[in-house]
Amino acid sequence: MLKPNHVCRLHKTIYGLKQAPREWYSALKEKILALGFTNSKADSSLFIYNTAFVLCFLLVYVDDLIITGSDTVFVSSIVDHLGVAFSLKDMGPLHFFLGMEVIPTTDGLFLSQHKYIHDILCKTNMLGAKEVSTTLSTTTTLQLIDGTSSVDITEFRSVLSGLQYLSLTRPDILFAVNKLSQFMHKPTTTHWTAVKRLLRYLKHTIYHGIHIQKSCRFNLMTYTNADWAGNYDDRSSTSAYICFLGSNQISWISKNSGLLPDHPPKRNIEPLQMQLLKLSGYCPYFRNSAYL
Amino acid sequence: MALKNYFYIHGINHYTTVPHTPQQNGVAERRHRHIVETGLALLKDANLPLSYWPYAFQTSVYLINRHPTTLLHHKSPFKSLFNQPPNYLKLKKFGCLCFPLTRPYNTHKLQPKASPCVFLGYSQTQTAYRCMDLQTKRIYLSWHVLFHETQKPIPSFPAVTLVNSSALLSLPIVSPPLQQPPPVRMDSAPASASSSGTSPNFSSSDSPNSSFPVLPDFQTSSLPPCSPIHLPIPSPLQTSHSQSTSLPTPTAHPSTDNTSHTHSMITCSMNNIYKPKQLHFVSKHPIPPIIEPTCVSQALCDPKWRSAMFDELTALMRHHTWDLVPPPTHCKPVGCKWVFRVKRKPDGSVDRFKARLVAKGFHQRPGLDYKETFSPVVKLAIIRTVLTISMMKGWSLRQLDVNNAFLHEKLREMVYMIQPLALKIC
Repeated sequence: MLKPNHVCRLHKTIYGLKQAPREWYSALKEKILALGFTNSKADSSLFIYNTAFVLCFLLVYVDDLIITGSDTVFVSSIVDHLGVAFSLKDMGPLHFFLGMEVIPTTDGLFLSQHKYIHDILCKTNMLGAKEVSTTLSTTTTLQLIDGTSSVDITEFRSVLSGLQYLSLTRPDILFAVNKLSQFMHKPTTTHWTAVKRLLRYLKHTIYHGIHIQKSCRFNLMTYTNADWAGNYDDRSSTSAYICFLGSNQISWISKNSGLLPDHPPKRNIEPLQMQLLKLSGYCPYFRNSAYL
Repeated sequence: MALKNYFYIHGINHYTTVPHTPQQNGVAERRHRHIVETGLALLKDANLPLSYWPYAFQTSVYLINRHPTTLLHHKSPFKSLFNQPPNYLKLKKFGCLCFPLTRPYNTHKLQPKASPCVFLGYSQTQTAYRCMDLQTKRIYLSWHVLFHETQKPIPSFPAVTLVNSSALLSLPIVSPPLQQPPPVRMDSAPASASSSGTSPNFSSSDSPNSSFPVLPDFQTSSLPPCSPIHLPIPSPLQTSHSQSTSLPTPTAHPSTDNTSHTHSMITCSMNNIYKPKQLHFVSKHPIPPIIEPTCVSQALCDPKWRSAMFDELTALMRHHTWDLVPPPTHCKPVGCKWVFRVKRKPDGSVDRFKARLVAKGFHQRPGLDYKETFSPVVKLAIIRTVLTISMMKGWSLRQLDVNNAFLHEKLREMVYMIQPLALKIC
C-alpha cells in the first residue's frame, strides 16, 4: 500500500478532470438512447421519446434532469430505469431549477428568480436603495467615452455578468443589460450609475417573472424591432426579437447588430434572419413532436 | 541639469546615495525625524487635526532654529548664522487661544475688533503671527495679537480612544493652579472686545452674541480639567484631584448661562452624565463554530474531517478508481486537492462533513491530456419551451438529481495523478 513515490493511474473520472463532464454526458446519453429516446437536433441536452402513444421530454443540465411526458406511468418507468444505472435522487415535482423558482399557479406556472435578485442586491449593498420604476434613464445617454472617471472594472463586470444570468426569467431588463455590457471593457461613473439604477429597478420588481399559462393555441409568433443607429459611439443599431408560443414567451434576445445605417434594407431584416435561423433549429424538434 | 554642468565645469564628481538606503543619508534623516517628531508633539498638544501638519512642521523648524544646541557650543543656529540672538520674547505657545486685531477687515465701525483664533505659528516672510479664526477658518497674519497662552481653543476629543485621551488629558491636570486665572481673563477679553454692542444689521457670524455661543464647544474643554469629566468612564485622575472637579464649577457658569439663552431644558450632558461609549462592536451573528479547513494538515487534526476523508478514500478504493504505478516518464501527473465542506440542513444545523478529492484539471493540457470537453448545458429557450408545452398539455414535471455524476465513469484517456496527501498517512 505504501508506495510514496508512485502516482495514481486513473481508471475512472473524478471531480476536476477536464473530461469528467463529457464522460458523464456520454454515459448518460448512451443509457437514455438505449431507453428509446432520440437526441434533439436543436439542443444536445434535450432527449425526446416520441411514439404514437407516448411523448416524453428529458432535459439534462449537468447533473440535474427534468422529465415530463404525456404518460405518468411511462415517466415513472423511465425514472426507475435511470435509477438502476445511476445513483438518482427523485426531487418530486419541479420547484427549483438553476436558481429559478417554479411556482405552480391555478392556470400555469410562475418562474421567478427573486432569490437570485436578492442575492445580487445583498452583494452590492443595494437592499436599502430607493426604488425606481424604469430600467434606464431616458435623459442620460450611455457612451463609451463620456468624460467621467473610470470605476472598478472587476466589480462592474461581476455585477453585470450576474445580471446576464437573470435573462432566464426577465425579458424586461434584457435591453438594459445588453446596453451596459457594451461598456464592460471600460466602465465609467455614468455606466456604474446606470447599473445601480438597474439594481434599484430590480429591487422594485423583485417578484416579477414569467408566467407560463395553460392555453391550447400553438401558433408561433415572433416580434422584432431595431433602433435606427441608436448607438452613439459607432451608430450601429440594436435589434431585438421576442418569440411567443401561444401566449407564452419562450425566447428573446437583444443584440447590437453591428450593422451601420448605410445598409437600411438589412436593418430590420437582420434580427428576423437570426430568429429564422433559430427556428430552423427548433423545426426538427417540432416536427418530431408532430406539432408543425 | 544646471548643477551637473556646474560640477562638470569645475571638475567635481557628484556622488549620490543608493536608492532606498536611508542609512547612507544619516544626517538628513536625523534632522527630518527631529522636525517630524517636534511637529507631531505640537499638533497633539494643540489638539489640532493631522491636516494642520504644515503649520506644525513649519513652527517646529522655526523653533529648532532658535534653540541653543550643543553641536554649536550652546548657540542657536540662528545666532551662528546672523550673529545676533533671536528674539525669544516673540515665541508663543503653538495652538493657544489668541485674538488678532481684525479691525482692518471689518466692514462696519461697530463690529468687534477681535475674534477668538487659534495660533498656528509664525509667518515665514514677515514679522507676524499666523492665527486662524475658529469660526470662519480664515487665516490672519497679524502683528497685533493678544495671546492667552494657557488656553487651548480646540478641545481634545475624548471619543478617539480612551487610553489616548486620558493620557493626554493628564497633562494639563499636573498644573491646575496655572489654569485657574485664564478663564477669568478669557471671559473678560471677549467681553471687552464685544462691549461695543450689536446691531441687527450685522451678519450673524460677526456679531459677538452668535459667535460666543459657539465658544461653549471649546469652552468646556478650554478649561483643561473639564475634559476629563467628559470621559465616559471615571478615570482615577478625576477622583484623585479633588481640585479638578471643584475647578470647573465657577468657570462652567458662563457656559451654562450662554446655553440657557437658547433653551432652558436640563440635559444629561449638562449634568455630566454620559452614556458609555461603545468601543468594541460585537457582531450580532456569532462566527459559526465550524470552520471549513483549507488544507489537509488542518483537516487531519480534527477527527470529524479525518473520518470524512477516510470515507471518501474508501469509496474511491471500492470503485477501483486508480492503480498506484511508478511515475511515467513521458508526462507530468496532474495535481490533486482536498475540498472540505460542511453540508447543512435547511434549518442551518450540520448535516454532515464532506471531504472530496478533486483533480487539478487546470494542469491538463488540451490535445495531450484530453481531446474533447463537453458540458451538458441546456439552452434557456429550450427549458422554457419544454415547460410551456408541458403546461399546455397539462403534464406533470419531475425533477431528478444525480448523485456523484462525475464520479465512476470510465476514463478513456490515460491520466496520471499525484497521490493524495492523506493516502500516505492513512
